[in-house]
Amino acid sequence: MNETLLEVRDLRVGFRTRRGLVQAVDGVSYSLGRGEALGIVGESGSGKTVSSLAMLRLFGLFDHVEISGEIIFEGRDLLALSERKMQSIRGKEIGMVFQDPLTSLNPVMSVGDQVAESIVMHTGRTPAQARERVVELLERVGIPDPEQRYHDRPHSFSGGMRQRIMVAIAVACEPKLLIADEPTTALDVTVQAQILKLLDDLRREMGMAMVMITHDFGVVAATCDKVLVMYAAQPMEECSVEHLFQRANHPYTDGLLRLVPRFERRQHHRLHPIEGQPPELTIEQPGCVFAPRCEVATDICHIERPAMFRLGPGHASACHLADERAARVTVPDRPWEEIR
Amino acid sequence: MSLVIHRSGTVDRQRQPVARALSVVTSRLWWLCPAFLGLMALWAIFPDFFAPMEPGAMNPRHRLLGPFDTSPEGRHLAGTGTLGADLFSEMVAGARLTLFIAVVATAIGTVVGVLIGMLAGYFQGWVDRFLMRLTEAQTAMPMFLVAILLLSMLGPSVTILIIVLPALVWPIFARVVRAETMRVRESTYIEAAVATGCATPTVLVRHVLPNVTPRILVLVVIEVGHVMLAEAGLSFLGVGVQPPDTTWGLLISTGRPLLTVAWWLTILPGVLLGVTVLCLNLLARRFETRAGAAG
Repeated sequence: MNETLLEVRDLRVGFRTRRGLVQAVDGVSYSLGRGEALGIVGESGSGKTVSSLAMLRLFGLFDHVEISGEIIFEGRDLLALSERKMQSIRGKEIGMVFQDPLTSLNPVMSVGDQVAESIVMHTGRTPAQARERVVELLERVGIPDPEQRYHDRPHSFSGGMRQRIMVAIAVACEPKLLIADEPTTALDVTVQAQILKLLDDLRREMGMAMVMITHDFGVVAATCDKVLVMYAAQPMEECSVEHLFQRANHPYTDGLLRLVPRFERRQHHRLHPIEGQPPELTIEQPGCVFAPRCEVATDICHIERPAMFRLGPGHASACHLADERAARVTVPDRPWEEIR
Repeated sequence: MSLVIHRSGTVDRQRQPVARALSVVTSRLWWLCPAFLGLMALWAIFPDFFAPMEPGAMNPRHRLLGPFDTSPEGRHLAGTGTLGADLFSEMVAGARLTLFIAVVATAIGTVVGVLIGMLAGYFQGWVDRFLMRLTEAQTAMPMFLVAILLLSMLGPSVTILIIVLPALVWPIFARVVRAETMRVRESTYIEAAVATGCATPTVLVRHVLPNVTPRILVLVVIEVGHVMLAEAGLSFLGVGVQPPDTTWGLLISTGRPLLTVAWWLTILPGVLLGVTVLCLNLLARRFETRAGAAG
């Protein structure tokens, strides 16, 4: 469990556009052990998807991308590998599930062939040999009558079923790492729970590590061991799931947690939205990116960008208030209940 | 012909004879098009079976008989030519080369155009700019004149026709396929295919091409007609197919000096060519609307 599978060091991804360089991921670092599950949480445009695309180098040949940093996967830097080596990692060592199951399957290819494609490519089996394994996989992810439905096209499946097929494709070669990019966002709530359960079960069965990208803390709580909270392309806080709900340190994490509706609260308890808008990623501002919206920001927050301060094992926060030299504020047990 | 606009704002097609005829053909009688084209294909494959007389057989005693006239050899459905050859038999015999040139030239144009269009649309960037400038250069070149030049310099031959005619159609394929490829490549399933480890050629052949194919098929049907007309034009100008080979275009050309004396020599092959091209277009139109409704 504690052997490191993936280590991301100071990952930066920028897109060159007419309006200048858009820094979509700005200095993200984390590590992931074998079989461990990390949740990356953030609002739209916070760079969580781009950071996962960078892991598979899923940028077009002519996309104007600038990537720096290191993504060490089993001792190899994925950013330095040749495209051919990268192809043998995609799908085999690292599988990926996309957000929208309605558009992520090829509409003119049978679902069986799409699952088989990855097996044929990576294991050298013939399509006929792969077939047996495909049926087994389809059955495992919960497609009824997999034998009969092998030759059906994606349009004859519901959204949830299509996402199950996507999962089957992603885990077809038993990858060591599964990246799930908002796998439940496009599904309705009952199906969401089933897909999450499926991902969690498969992860345990196959001993896969998982990076779960989401904006839903419920998903994180259900499937992950630790969390990375991102805001405006930068990491804000990293901690274990237990710590997240009890001892969240960063004001942004705290603000997000206050937005989770809770049943045990008093009636008429209003949710407190975080005021303001996320900044434009083209403008580089000094200081903490969250400072303009932060309720507890101090002068230094607008001047100097905070480092990731260690708060304990596996817990770090990019907030000046987490600096041990900062004035001590007693961290309340349930910050969202009492700060107001 | 007047348009009657209903309160709902729709144009009343019932009052437009042309539109009405077209909509009847495309909706209820559409099967006539493939049936007619099938018949033409049969003419091309088994000319001996369909031609009532020996095509090109000269018989000076029965020169310039009108349609339905009879001679000791039998009834001449489409009359006879200057040398007494049965025009209907000649038209049947001409189907083979007419269709062969049109289909082969379109096939070559399709392959070239699809390849260029897919590469340009998928890779974008300088590959796209280079290939599209090439396509524009080809479009800007008056290929009909170039064809006349080449064929008059090198001498008319079917081979040169088959090399020159695709130049008329591949830029069209390149542009349409490029646009479609650009649409398809933005789909998540292309990203997903790359994420499962497909190499670029695999992505193009297995994932992009099948999703572009419906548009290509529609275009192929239209362009066969286009190429057929171009070949007829070149043959008409005397730089295309030469006797003793014959195509419909050539028949029109040989009949032209006699238009006032024997109208059928020009009009009947012309009608045959026209109907064939019309059928191709109507069929393409049907494919397109069907594909649109399904998509």
